[in-house]
Amino acid sequence: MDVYHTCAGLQALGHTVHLFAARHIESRERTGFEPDTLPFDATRLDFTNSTMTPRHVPPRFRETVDAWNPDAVFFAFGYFLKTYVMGALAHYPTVARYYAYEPFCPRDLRRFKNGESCPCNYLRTPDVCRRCALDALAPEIKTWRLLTWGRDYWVSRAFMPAYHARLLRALRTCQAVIVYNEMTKHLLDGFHDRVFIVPGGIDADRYEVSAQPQNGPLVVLVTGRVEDPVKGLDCLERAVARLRRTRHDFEVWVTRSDWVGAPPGFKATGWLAPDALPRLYQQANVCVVPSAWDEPFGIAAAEAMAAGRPVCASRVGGLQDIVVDNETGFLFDRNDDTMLAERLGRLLDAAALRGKMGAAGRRRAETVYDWKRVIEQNYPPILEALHV
Amino acid sequence: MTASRRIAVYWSPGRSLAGALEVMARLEPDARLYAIVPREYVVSDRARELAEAVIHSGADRYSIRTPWPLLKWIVHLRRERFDAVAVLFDSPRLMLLAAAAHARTVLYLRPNGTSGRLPMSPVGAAALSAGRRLRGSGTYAILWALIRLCTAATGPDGGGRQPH
Repeated sequence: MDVYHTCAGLQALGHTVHLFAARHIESRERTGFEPDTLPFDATRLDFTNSTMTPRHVPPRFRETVDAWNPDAVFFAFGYFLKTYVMGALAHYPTVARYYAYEPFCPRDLRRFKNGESCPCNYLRTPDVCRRCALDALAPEIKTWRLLTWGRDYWVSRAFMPAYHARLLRALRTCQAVIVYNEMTKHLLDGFHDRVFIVPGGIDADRYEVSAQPQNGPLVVLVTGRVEDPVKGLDCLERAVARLRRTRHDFEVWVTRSDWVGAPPGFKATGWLAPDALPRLYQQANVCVVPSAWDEPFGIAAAEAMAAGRPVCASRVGGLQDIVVDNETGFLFDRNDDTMLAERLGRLLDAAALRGKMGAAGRRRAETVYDWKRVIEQNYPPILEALHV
Repeated sequence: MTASRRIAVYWSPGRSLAGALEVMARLEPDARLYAIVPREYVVSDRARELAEAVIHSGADRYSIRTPWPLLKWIVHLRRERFDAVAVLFDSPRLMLLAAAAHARTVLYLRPNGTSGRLPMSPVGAAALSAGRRLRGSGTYAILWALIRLCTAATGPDGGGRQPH
């Protein structure tokens, strides 16, 4: 989504954009795209199991990109092989875009371990992180059923010290690095001095702002991949149990399908296609994003704000940048169900407060997080730094 | 592939049922699809459109440690006489369950929208799993040793660098 909107946005600003993307055609996971369906030029480079390797991928990218001869190269999403491709295209002015914690956490790009945020940073503590990554990948490796991350780790030899040195070299050759939030920027302190913060975005036009639903119980909505423990649904469950001691005038809707034994007060909506989300937000009174990990961006919060709904979000990663405490919603401390229950209770009690915060959220979503604004406000300075 | 093939899509956590049914419908446009889901699984409208019927299992999870419910479930699946059972992960557990369901074909639906055949017999499934484990355990042992023997360099270009 980010790559799509960035390419389309840069093209709208008058630049000539061409997307080059790898597709692992034998991958078990979803991969690839149809270049003809995109509103900008794109080339898909197909690789098989035997060619999706550091030996084949970088030269193929170099050959294809050299034929187009760009003024600047942006490196978008990628796992370990991205580092090799960055090295192969170092003769251009380059910008590395990181979406989560790819250069900081070879375990699973989340910096989240044993239920809490991990203090380690692979750039500074490579040996600790190498051991941690192997521990995390042990089930996949021992059964030899490697998924995309594990396969990339294996073919890129990311377990070797040489990979760490290669990553540092690749970072040094970049003219700039783009991350989602202030916290991630600090992880690069001492490793790169030109780090730009560019948030993700939403298409504000897709979200219609409607009046808060009046009939039936109040609806608290949680969207996203909530079955993932990093999303902190357990904290919300504890907060709801606390609230239900004194009130039963609300229910919590959660976008998940596989919910056997949902706690009282919770309702699964089933997994919904992205197109169905705007309508779902309209049916909600309050949205909660209880993430336990340092969410790099937190698109669920931006979507809820675009739909004119107040947001209760944990004070982590990019979420604390998106939600303005006491203005577009409330922030609560990570995993603090007492604080979440108190904040949620205040929003459930006051329709006027919900309306006021929802309207402020919509304004913020339009002015800061609408894709058009994100590109217009953030990319010109980056291109200027590259002398493009 | 005949027009009236009955294909069961056995849902597993982590995958979209509607997505899997869409893939199966594309691969076998004339087949009748049956979705098999846990007992309290919430089936989306899209999945209901694609499936001829939704079969909810009697238990949330089956294990060899609770043989009676597992046996009842296998008997139930065999009675359905599916022509093919499609699973969403190629794990040994699912392979064995699908093989025990006695369908003529066992398919693995990959997330990338393609499918592959899995070993039909429980013995074949067990042998495949054992071979993978052997290779995987050997590789893990080598990596474990490499990570402890070869440490990353420290200094300005290596690890352990302090912030400026």
